[in-house]
Amino acid sequence: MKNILDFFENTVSNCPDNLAVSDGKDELSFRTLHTASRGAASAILNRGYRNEAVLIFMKKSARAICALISSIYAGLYYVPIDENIPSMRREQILKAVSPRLILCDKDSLELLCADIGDIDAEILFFDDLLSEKEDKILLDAVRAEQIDLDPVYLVFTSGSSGVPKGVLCTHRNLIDYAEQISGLIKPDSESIFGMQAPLYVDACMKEILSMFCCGSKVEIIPQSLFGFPIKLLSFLNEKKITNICWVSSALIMISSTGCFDELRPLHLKTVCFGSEVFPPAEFALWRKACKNTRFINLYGPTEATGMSFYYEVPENFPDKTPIPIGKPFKNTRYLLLSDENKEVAAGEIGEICILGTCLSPGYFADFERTEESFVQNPLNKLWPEKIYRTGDLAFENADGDLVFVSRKDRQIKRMGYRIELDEIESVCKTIDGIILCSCLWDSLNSIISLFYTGALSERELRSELRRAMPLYMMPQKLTRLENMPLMASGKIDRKKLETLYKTEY
Amino acid sequence: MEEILKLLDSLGLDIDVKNCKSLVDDGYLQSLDIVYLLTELSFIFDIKIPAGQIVPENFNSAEALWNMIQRLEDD
Repeated sequence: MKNILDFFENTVSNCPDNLAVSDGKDELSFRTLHTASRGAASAILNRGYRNEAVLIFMKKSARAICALISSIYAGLYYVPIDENIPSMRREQILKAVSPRLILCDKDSLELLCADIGDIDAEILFFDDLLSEKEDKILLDAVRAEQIDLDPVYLVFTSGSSGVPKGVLCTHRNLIDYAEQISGLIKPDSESIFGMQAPLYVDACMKEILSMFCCGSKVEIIPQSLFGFPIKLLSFLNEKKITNICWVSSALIMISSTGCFDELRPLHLKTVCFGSEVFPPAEFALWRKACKNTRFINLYGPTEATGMSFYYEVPENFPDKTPIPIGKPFKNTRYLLLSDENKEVAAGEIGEICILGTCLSPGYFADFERTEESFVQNPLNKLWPEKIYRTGDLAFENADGDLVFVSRKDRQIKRMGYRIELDEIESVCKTIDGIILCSCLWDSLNSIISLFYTGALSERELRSELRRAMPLYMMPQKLTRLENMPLMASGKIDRKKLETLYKTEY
Repeated sequence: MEEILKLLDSLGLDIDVKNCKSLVDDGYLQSLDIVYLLTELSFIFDIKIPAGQIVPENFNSAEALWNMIQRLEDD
């Protein structure tokens, strides 16, 4: 197998009439999804696009998923964005990619026109491509030319310099991931996945690959429900959702509001969570509410394609214990390295470094950063072997499971998103009227706090920040200071800010 | 009511939060804003907002939020 669509096509021929994806408005069967994406891909190819990026700016929907598949059929790599990415960040992505082709929908066109600047791209309504006829000869020719190292997509993640960095994912990466994730979750054609993740992060691939490989259905959950726990649970029950792979914060929103006293999930077979710590007390509530449900903690960086480690929480898992990130997927290996680039002794803390087919080729148009993070395995002196340095610190417990400890740098995880505190500061500094600023992370309460000096009021700054950064990056606490505490070197004194934070909150 | 308006205003939305009647229905408040409001409301009014009250109708306007808080404080 050399193309991720081989999985999809196999499923299309096995169960063409099953529903593949639904968003409340559109319900697409595998046959429809297949026919429509091949038609749209032919239309794209007939316009002369080959082996290049296509930016997809569409509302999260069944049609948007069809657009992703169309791009793969056309042999292009897609860059997904949507209206929830604020305009400043969208502009940065557009500039970094400079695509010749952009697919959009009626809702996104206006935003896109404002973002696009002087980029000379052809903009097409994806809906207009849906009725086009497939050109089998052309599609076959494109497929024959492709190799499994060709990229499928490019997603952007937080970068400390204030500019997001693009991570590429190839067919080979995805084939490996599809095998691991379906082997672990074991979905089938009866499974219904309730999709929470946006299409612009790789987290959504768990659902999409389960659909591709196992014929499972993807039910897109309206984003607005994630603020309203009872409505969300009712939706899961009404749609008979069997599998969810959500960020822990979405699960916590349900359990912490006391939802389970009124309503319980009825059909859940598997709950995958991860990307951030799941407090043991909240986990206990979930476990109690869902009998006979598998709970799996997943861990992995985008640079190693979705998830790389798993831990299925056993029935007798002790209370009040942090949930380990567990063991690597098959075909993935890890090293725990010390600062001296040596393997740490048993039980000691080291940096998680990942090896395997899962490793992304690197960052888009950024060889320098790629070389910093994807490095030669220091333990192998005999042949070239790349490892990815995650920057996450962990230790191996007595059962051989990895337990996450902390980050090496100022990257944090919130609502499942990777956030560089440096990026928040960089963005903030670009705002007129801000002189100095510094971010603190209170991991215990999951609160980002920003201290700043300058002319803007806290309200004015928040209003500016809403335009400049995604809501998940937004500091909950903004504090305007008359004077920023500085060290002798002139750098901001974060220790003093921490003391200030503790006394204020 | 003052506190509610101040809280809504602090979100930095580009609308008149005092008079808007469709904060949720028109998508001004995202799910993360709701989570933020829940935390802040519990803190300001020292109440726990039960799951049954966390519905769009109670978050659509400053007035609806205020009425919800009043009901919860009476209980």
